[in-house]
Amino acid sequence: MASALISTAEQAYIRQGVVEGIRGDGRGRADYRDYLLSVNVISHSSGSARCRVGFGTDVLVGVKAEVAMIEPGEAPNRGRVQCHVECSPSAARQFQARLTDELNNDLTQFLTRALNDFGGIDLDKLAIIPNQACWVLYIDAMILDFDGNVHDTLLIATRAALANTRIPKVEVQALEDGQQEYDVIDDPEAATPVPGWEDAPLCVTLNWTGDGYVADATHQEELCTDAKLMVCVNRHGDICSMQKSTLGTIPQATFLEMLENATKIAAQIIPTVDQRLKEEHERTAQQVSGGHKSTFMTNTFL
Amino acid sequence: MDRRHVTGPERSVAPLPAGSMNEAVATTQAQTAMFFDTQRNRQDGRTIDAMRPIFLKTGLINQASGSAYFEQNNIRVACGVYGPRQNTQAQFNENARLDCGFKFATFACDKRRQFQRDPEERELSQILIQALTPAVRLGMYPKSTIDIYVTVIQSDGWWSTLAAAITCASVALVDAGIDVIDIVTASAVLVLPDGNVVDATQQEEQALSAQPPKCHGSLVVAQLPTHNEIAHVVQTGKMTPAQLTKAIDTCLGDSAKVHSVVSYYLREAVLATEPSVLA
Repeated sequence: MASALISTAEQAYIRQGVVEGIRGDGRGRADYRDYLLSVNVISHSSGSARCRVGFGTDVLVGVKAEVAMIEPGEAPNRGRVQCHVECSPSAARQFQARLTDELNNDLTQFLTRALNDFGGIDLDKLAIIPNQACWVLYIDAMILDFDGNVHDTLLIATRAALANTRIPKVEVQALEDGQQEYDVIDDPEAATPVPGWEDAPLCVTLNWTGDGYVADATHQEELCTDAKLMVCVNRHGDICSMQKSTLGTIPQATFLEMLENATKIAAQIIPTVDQRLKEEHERTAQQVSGGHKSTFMTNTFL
Repeated sequence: MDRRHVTGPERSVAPLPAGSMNEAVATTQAQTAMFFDTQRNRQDGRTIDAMRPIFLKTGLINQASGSAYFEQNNIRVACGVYGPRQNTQAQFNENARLDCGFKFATFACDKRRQFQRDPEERELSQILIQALTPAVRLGMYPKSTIDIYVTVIQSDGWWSTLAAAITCASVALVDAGIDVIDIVTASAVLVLPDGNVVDATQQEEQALSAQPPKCHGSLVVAQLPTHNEIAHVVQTGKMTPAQLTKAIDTCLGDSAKVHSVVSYYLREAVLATEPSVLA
């Protein structure tokens, strides 16, 4: 990334603020910014969502379900999830072409780790014919605008997109010679939701500034951060993935405290996100019956 | 060899025993179940809380400023550190920058790797930079870059290999004479519903992934042992906060053990070359 555009005095001010519990936008240390969530924003996808946190970070996630072969050596009875995250160069000064390669890659691997195997989605139910065919969910995310806390926003949008995704129905027929054959049914009414999307985790990132830590940091606050701790938690309070990022260290005692607090914060935000998601789905359902309207730009903050 | 004309298979698969595919799957499942029932004794004779023995040697690469070779049974990692050298960027930077190239040898894993770094290796490079940077006194080397190249010659357990690579790179930094405030040591555990398996092999990792996804996962913790600071954490899987806290404790204890091995070795290495230094 390009060098940080922040002065030493500004850094000292923000760091001291973290210790005192005073932040630039008047939030407490554990408070999140208000966010906007819209689903079904891309008509070509199997499911999509867009999440905008505050007036900054904006993430668009599209999910596409495709049938793929199961190669020998792979789990014989399991579907797959394939993630890709891309920061669009127009979003921020530091997202210049080439400079984002590492960031894109880190975010992609992070999302893959949070979702694969144990991240909620019931991959066993995505299998179609053992050793032959399975569903692959391609989860592609774009960072359209940036003001800190990409990870949390990314997982909110991904969870919403998975909730919005419908997988076409498949009929499996047994042939005479013991082989099986599948047919994908085109009827959108018969499509089913992603099995186990409810258990997909949300991420809580805590930013350690050396003396204290804050949740949902803005870009300015992230520039003062020594170490970030990303904790992905599902609705049962299980931790699905955790990772430290950036170049600093976290003292052992603080680390365990941060972990505990992250789980607590997650327990608060998951129900609110789900509530928002439910309202959003009802709203889109009404819009569909009332003719097409753009859901992309018309949403306002609740 | 010209790979555009001679394309080998993407990966190799062990031949199946005589009989149907289903039988093979059944035997794997039986083996898996056996592994988890009798976990007090693992297949290589260790108990679940025992690490593999460590072999460590510095100074193997002549051209490098410092180098280290780390071995734990089937894990073999080599690391070379070059620099500090002058930063090529025009921009002034009062701190040194760490650059890391993490590479699995093409034959290091089950599936053949490509010569170019894949996304996984690029992320591992980033993880290594994030884990090692806190230990280095960057202010001592303004306007410079320190290059760390890690080659995994043989891998046995993804998570244990990552831990080995972090420790190995840190020892190589020390061998290069770079100012550090501590040696970064790391260790890995496999978390099961009823306990933690320390320093798992690939066989054990695969046995775990064949299990239905209940509460289990993997964890690597890197720490600065004498400062009690956590330098890096990577975790995946699904576990309760209590399980995770316990696993972190196990990891911290293990990496403290790794630290005692490393510091003992470094002390011996210095004594062997310059006996007067520690006198």
